[in-house]
Amino acid sequence: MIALVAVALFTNTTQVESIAVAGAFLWAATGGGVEEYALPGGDRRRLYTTLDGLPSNLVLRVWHDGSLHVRTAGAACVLGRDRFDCAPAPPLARELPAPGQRYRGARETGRIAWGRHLIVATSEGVFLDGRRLTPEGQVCGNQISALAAYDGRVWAGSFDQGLCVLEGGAWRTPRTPFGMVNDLCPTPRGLYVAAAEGLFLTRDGRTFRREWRVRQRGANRLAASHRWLLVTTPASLYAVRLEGRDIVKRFRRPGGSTALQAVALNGAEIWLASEDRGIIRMRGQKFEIFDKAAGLPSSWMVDVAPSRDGGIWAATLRDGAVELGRDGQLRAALRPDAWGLRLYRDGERVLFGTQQGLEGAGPTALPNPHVHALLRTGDVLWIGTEGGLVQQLSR
Amino acid sequence: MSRLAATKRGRFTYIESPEVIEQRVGRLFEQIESPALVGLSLEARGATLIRTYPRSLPDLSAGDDLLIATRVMGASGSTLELVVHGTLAGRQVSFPVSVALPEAALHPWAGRVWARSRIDDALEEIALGGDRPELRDEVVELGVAYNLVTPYTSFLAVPASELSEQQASTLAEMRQQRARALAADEDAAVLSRRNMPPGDPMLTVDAPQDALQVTAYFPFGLVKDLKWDAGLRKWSLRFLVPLGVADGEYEAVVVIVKRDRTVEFARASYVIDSKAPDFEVDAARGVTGVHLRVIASEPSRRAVAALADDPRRRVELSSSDGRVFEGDLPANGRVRVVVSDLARNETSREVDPR
Repeated sequence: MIALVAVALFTNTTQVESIAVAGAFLWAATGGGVEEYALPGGDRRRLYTTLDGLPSNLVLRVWHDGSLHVRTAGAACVLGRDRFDCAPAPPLARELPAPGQRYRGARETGRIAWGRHLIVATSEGVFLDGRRLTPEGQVCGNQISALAAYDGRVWAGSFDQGLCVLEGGAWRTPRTPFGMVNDLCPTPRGLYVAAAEGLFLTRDGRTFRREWRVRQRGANRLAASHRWLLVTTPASLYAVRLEGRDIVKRFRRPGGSTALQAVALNGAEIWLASEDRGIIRMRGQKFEIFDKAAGLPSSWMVDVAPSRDGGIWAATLRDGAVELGRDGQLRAALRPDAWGLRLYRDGERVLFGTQQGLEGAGPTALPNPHVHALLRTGDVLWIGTEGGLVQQLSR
Repeated sequence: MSRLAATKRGRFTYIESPEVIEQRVGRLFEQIESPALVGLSLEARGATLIRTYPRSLPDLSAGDDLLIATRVMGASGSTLELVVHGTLAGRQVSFPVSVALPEAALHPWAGRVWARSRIDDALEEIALGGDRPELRDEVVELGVAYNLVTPYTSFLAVPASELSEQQASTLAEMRQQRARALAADEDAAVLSRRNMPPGDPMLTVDAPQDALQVTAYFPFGLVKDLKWDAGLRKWSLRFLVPLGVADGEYEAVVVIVKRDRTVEFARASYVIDSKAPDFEVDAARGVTGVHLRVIASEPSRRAVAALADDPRRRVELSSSDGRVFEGDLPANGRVRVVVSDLARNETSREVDPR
């Protein structure tokens, strides 16, 4: 049994949905929790998150009527001594489509005149008299879709806000030619980034070049051995040689699939997860299909991870995860009611990130139940969710 | 001058400031001295072209583009063959292209391109022959329908509060016309998948790169700005359709505020479908195996039949309409049939051949 302790949570508060002022305090409801700033200086005093009683880090409204109230999509909360107390609440009224006010190029979401000062909330942070208060050094997004350890540091890829690296306790977000990160893969050649905009490589973490031989945009997932990097795009599997001669092989529509998702290596075998052909095993140049017609619960697979005995774990879209042995026979099933997102081989065990939480890691306090990315660095388990990045010490 | 140049297969070059005279004139001489493709004409077979612009095709030199905008009259489903004829280095050359005429416009920007060309032509007519009411009305209607600013529709860019009652009334009437015209432009905003279970599709929107705002409003409450994608040359956004959204057809509305402050709305509809399809299957034993006929209850993507105890022996059933699938499995025994609908929901059923 693994015990998970000492939680740290990283969120991003750039997207501000609403602001309120009372006395000499400013509160901002953001995509990464509720911020409290002291006025008129504008120093951030506190960030309230799910660790402080909020049911979600995506906070949509904030107001002050003697007490501080906030709304999330499904709850109404009031700040007590040090924590929020929350109760279920009906959904908020939808915002009607209309041209909006822009402030410094960003969508304005709130504006308050405080004495002679002007406070503006935007989709790019909160501003006091034109000065941005939202702190720098935050994780690059609240939905973390990929994690990797490269060059002695932890890298996080976000759903639509690019890539960032943890350096000296703060996150640095380099300028990148991509925004929508699907996967990260450290190799001796550098850190590869699979993004909706294509496959990219960085050696220094600051400059990124596109690997143009992977022609399609929409690089989905990556896997690497010592010699090869494997890349999936929707309709092709690419093999990029990492050492020796510079070779790129392309396998079009492997197993007939035009909707490839993930790739994993186990020994000499390559396993693919696809939306339309289930699990595809590549042996030599031949492809074998394991899908619903073969008796599996689904043909829609979202991820694969090697199992201990040379077989494969596969996560389905909404029928849990299954384990196939090397012989292709179904060995085990996990959480058959879960919507699968990510599998991660953690030593001898496999962790299963789902839309209903994390399986296989014991009790975990997650800011959001949708687990998209996992990474082990020593005693620390990093868990990327749709509501922030969790750092948990496990022993 | 533009009309004169076009009529005589010449070139009209507008020099907007003295600083660029040398550059523009130099380019003009280069083009005149080395025409690559001359004597161009356009031939259409299988349909009729009307109001084709430019009225006469210019000679082309290396690096030139030629954009032809026209309206096509022809039966949907028929094939239009377009051939550009010309002379290249003294030899007659032809560039044919075939186009299957769809029932409705596939690309909303195509109508806009033609409208811009038609407006320019009508404005030239007015400049040459004087203000004619029918031409002016056409310019106004096209300008409003496609949100193009013209000398007669400059009030589109004026805040509503500054319009006179008459202008406001005209604008309201014309916006109704425009809404009708744009009804055919449903794919100005498109999703990477239309039918899906909850997931993370991509929304792309055709809007100018210099737009001031491109914001999507989703029916489940999400409001998000799109970003310019230099690779796609479109605005794009990735979003999540959360679990728990009820099955049904939904529409995301995109607000586009252009540089000139005009506002457009684009819509992208999508279907959340999490229910597995139903189907009937008939399996008849034959001499060489099992003949399968599957009738799906909804339009479906795919039907596969496999031997239940050896699923490597399988057949992909074929269909011409997505409802009825047929095929022969060259084996005998219990058969497992799987049907996938458009959202890739699946149903599996095992049958013993009769």
